[in-house]
Amino acid sequence: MLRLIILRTASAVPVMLIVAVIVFLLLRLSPGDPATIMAGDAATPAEIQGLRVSMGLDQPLPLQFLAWIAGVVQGDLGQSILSRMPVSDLIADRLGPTLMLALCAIVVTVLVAVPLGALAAWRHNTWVDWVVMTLSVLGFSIPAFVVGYLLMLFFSISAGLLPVQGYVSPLVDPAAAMRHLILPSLTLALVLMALIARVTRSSLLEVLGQDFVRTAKAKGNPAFRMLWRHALPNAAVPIITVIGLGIALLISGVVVTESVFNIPGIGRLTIDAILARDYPVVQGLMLFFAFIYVGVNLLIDITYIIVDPRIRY
Amino acid sequence: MASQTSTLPGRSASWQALVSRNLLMLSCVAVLLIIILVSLIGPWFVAGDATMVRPRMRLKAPSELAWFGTDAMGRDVFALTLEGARLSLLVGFMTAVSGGLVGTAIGLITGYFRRLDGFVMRIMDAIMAIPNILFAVAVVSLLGPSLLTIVGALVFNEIPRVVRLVRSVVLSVREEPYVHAAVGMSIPARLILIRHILPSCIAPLIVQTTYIFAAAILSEAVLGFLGVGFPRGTPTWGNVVAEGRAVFLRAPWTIIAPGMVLAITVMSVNLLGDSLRDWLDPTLSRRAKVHS
Repeated sequence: MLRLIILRTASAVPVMLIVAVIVFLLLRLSPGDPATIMAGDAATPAEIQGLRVSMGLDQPLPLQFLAWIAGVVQGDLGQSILSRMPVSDLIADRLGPTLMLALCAIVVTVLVAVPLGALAAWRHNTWVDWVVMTLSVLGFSIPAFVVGYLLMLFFSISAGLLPVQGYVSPLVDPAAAMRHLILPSLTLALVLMALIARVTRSSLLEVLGQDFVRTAKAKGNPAFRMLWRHALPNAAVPIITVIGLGIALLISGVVVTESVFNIPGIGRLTIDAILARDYPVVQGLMLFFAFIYVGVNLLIDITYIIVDPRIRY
Repeated sequence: MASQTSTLPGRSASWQALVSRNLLMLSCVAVLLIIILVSLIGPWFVAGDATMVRPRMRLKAPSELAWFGTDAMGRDVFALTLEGARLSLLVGFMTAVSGGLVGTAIGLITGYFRRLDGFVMRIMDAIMAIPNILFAVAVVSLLGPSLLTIVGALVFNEIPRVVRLVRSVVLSVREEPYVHAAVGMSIPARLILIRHILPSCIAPLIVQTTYIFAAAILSEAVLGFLGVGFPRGTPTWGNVVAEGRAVFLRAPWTIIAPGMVLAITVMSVNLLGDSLRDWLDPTLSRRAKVHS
């Protein structure tokens, strides 16, 4: 088992390396030179050239890549062109709001989507099933920003119940922080809920057709107990599998949600950095996001290896 | 409704189920045809030029004169939405077709020639690890917004899913006796791939391309919303919504109305994909729908 875990972990290394190559090439092959941006409008060609040399931009691409990746491995993601701050510090500064947002969205998703999916499976082919599945397709189809603005329109502007935009740290004012987080987390959670409800339903449907469920029913178990104790645990594996996909949705969703609700997290940081052509920050953030995605998928696979003795690569 | 896993799957289900499934598929096709038709005959449908600026008509609420209201420059949001449909649907269509073609080619080759498999699949894993939206935003804003860069960036994001799908079909089909027979008759690999293996991929591919179509329309809208889509002034759904951002508090219809048209379109495409999947391949419907 340990050997399997080590093998699986090692297989993540080439993937991250290819990610690094793609991200590096993407930013180097594009027109526009970081040195020109950094030097400003008033700079003479000689100054720009000097900056280019000092930043190592005159080196061949493979050498530049090696220099960059050597730093990354040691935790040095480089320095922002605009603010001159280390990229890792920038990410650390902005991580809090994004983590809070993602955490709330995940909690909302699990609390809402799993029961809804279970309900749809239990009441298969009735109007309940139909409503849940329609909502799920709608969740996949409606853009997150439309949902965000709709929620804002109803709860903040018309009803005046919740703040329109912005972010308050829970360390400063927990109550205000929660009020600011409700709408963004709902917005972010929508597509996740659609995914999880759907998978919960289809996975549970498969389990509900099996013999042991019939036995549990025949023994006179109440419906809730039958679902909760017997069916859901056996339906859990596909649900855990889609968490990997869920992370990808979450990262994309964070970018949009933070823009709609004006939350100063890493999603906004990324968009701002891309628009400002702050190459080191963009590279660092893309690597960071990819690292989270690869890491979560790795953890899921390792969980399988530990939980399910049948899994052998 | 969308992904029924009935006890009798697919074609052997009762005729009522078949009719109701096809009814869903037919209504999705009808909705999409209406949207395409209306967007094409839009200029005759709505009086005046959609992009005409009318300062005295700024930010008017929806009325019988302007069904979706007017935006900050007095333009009719309904007319803009119709105009925008063309480019948005074109982006979706081009992404679906080219993503399907490129992904199929890579998937066929990597599934058949096993030596390439490890390397190609690691690249696919890497592409999937890079957040789609951020990659597209970066490509489009660095290389400049155009049909080519936007479709290119979206295709790049979608390729891994197509490759995985086609590869999984190839891996199972290549062990079939008829493929072994073809190999035994020393038929060239490219003919085996095209004549004997590709046909098995078609049904799941059609389903997958509808999902790509839906995802691409959504992505274009998000790019526009984030301000890196087509150049400002080009009517696409993303740009119409983007222009509404600044005036949302005073004129929410500028985002909600085109957003709803977008959602209905994407939903029709997604439901069409679901019903096609149930119709074309009953065994597919047992799997959870996996797309983003």
